[in-house]
Amino acid sequence: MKDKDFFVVIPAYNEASRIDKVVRGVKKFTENIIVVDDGSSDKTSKVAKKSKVKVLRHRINLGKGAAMKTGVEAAFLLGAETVVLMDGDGQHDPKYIPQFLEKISEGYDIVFGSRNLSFGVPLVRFLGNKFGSVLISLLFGIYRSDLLCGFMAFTKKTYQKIKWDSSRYGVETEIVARTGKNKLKYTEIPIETIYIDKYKGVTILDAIGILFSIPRWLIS
Amino acid sequence: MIYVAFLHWKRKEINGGEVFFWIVLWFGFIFVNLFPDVLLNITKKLFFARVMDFLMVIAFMILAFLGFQNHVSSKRMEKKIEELIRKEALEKKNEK
Repeated sequence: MKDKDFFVVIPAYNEASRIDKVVRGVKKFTENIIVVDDGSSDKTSKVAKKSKVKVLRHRINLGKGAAMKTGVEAAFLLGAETVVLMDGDGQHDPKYIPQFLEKISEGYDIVFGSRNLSFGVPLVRFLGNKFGSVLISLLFGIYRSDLLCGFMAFTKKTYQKIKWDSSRYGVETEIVARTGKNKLKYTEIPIETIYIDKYKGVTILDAIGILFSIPRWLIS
Repeated sequence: MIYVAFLHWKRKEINGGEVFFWIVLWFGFIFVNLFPDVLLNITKKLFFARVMDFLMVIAFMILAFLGFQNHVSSKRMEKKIEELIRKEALEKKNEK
């Protein structure tokens, strides 16, 4: 895959202390990077701009899903054919980017990262994730071992089919549901992950919200 | 509350139809409180033991309706704001 054919999109919210390291890691693989600062109250935008990458900024915080959408649409408008999404807090190692692209080149519509949920994951998250996986599998016919991983890659054509409505943390689950619903060709790549901030990410309340959204994804 | 509805209408924050609805609603409550017997017939027909029970059901129906209206309107507003903010961010995609 040619360098200009893919972009890495990094949604970030209050990640001034980490975004530089994340961007430097990604730069080893591509210069096509879009950081979407989702209305951070810290200097995320300024720090990212210093790393000489494209920075888009939401004037107010809209949520991860909206930031992902902005970044992905910008990438496709700039000529990308494939987009790799990864979190801005440094929990995803950019070394897996070539593997994602390889799988896309093999003809997969979408490639998901999958964390090893047996080690280092808080029990509540582990159980919630598994319950969600089984539920989504029953309703949409797609089983993903790690439902909430934000490290993924997909093509422009795929985006038209999985375009999500969730503006907040339900986004990863919605993408999985739409992948199953549209019977897209998908695969998973096992990845390592580091839980850096226990106060960020999906909370129990978010998880309840996601559960209530599932019927909507079934009919829309 | 009638005064508050009137005030918002004068400030052009609600339209004529809305102020009419609220004034009728509040006058209705006052009337029913003063003369609860006027509802006895309908209460009996609907098998409510007391007029108060009937009024409670009506009140919950109105509350549910208003709650739904608020939900829809806040969702619509949220969507509009999201579109606006995202559009503004995307316009800067060619800047380095």
